[in-house]
Amino acid sequence: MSQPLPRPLLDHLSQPGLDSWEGYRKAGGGKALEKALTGSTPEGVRADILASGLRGRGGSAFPTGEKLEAVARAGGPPRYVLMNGEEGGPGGFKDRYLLEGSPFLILEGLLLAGFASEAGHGICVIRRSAPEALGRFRRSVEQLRAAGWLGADIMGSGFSFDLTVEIGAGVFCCGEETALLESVQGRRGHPHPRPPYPSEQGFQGCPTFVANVETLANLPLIVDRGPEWFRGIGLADEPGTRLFGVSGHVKVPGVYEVPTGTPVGDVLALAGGPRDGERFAAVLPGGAVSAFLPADALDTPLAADSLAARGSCLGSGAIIAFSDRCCFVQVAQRLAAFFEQESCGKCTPCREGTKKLREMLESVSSAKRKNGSEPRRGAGKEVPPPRPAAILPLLIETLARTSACGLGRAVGTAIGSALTLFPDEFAAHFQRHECPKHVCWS
Amino acid sequence: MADQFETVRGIIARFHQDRNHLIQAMYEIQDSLGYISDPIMAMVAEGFGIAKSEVAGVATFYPHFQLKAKARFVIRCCSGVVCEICGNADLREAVRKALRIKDGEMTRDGMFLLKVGGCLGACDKAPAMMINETLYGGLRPEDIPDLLQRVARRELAGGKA
Repeated sequence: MSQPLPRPLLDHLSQPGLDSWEGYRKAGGGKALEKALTGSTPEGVRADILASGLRGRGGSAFPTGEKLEAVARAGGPPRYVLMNGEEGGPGGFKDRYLLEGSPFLILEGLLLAGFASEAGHGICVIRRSAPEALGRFRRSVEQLRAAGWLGADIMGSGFSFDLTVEIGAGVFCCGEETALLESVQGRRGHPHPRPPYPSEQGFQGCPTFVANVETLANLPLIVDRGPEWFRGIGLADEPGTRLFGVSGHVKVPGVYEVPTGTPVGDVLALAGGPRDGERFAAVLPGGAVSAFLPADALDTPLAADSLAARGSCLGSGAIIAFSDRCCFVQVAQRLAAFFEQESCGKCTPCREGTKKLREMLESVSSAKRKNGSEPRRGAGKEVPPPRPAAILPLLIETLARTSACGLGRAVGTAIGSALTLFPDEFAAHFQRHECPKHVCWS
Repeated sequence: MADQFETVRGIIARFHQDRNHLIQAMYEIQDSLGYISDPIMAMVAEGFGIAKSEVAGVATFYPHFQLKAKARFVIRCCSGVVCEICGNADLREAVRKALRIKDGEMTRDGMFLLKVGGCLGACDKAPAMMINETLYGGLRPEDIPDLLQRVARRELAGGKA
């Protein structure tokens, strides 16, 4: 890394006074929307975003320009823009960081998305476990309204836009867009089959542009600096930079920004590398829904196709590092317990499968206790299944094939990859009921 | 009791029976009453013109809703995988020991309730814990008794938590 890497979002966030409207304007904010409203048309902005090649940062990596196009074409009005700030997966905190750092940047992005998709109303969902972000965002909306940038006929351009801020329920599966839509309409957060996509039938059956916080944050930069600037960063087919929340066993957990295609190891190095006396054993490059990368694959670029080649995915920017002191059977069990709790319970494979998965891993990971007493099998009554090594992969495959939404399909990804990466560790638990690393007797 | 109903009626009225705002209204009710009891749920259902089962469905789906008399302090222990590998099991054990309660239980004086589950999204500060609306990160098990005492003392002194 001879020359400094471009990090436009973090550079923006490093400026002082971003929590007030004046400070944001002083830092150069607001120019993009002025440019769009006075000198461009919705078609023009859409063309810019399409040309920039920006892809959604929430996990699906769908081209943002195409989504805007789809919403604008889908009919209406009314049309809606929905900001998905319901980030609640393990390792996911970069959206909270953005919302706390520069709420006006997100709001400007939201207004631009509204202008480009010809929508009139925005809904911002921020999860309840981020009260700081929620408070700042609400204050920013008030300031924006006072400045005349919200409401009817903004800057005399004829563009009217207003928005509401809603408290997200803090449920993992509500990060899925159809479940989120259910949730903002005051119902249980159950996902829908797609199609119809939200861009055709979203909020109250109207076309809705659903976007991740980081995606929105990129819009003002693209409109302000031009699509060519954006295309010049990172990979050709998914340009730009990405924010990664790095957590787990690293020296300095936090949010880091790198161009797409940067090796995983470089991001971990930015976060200070492994803690003293430890080595990385494996990394989850995309949070709990991705597959483990072994320590010898840290040169894999953070790009959709190269990660997919290793059976993993980019997810929503959550890198979790695991040191060699972790017992991966225990990690797998914790992951399963998390998914069991977060499963919405709508479809049977996910509801029952996650429970079985957790029970099975629990029965082996807590098989022998620290003081050498009898194996504590499951909740005390259950006996470990006869052949966990044979049944686990089968269960994971069933989950992946038959679940209704992404949550259920992704449950087994990390656990399955741990099974193939650390066969000896699992075998020791399965066959001899012992933990080679002497950690899991919780 | 009567003024409780008054508060709830006021909150429901502000949302104009808009079904979309059911969750927001319930949050506000919970914030002002502490929890959403059975009769309150019936009132909400009536106010929004929907079945009580629907209100109950929403209330039980989202873990942030409190359906029983609330402790003054709800301790939420994160159980995301990052907190788990950063030692949050020891943290929970410390809370259980300090308060002599199990997961999901409330202390007898109604001061603390321990909830375990979900991801608080504060993985950079793992292991993390939330007490009411305040997030505490980077905790060690030995900090716990002190922290709980501090929180409780502030309450006795009349300060806001």
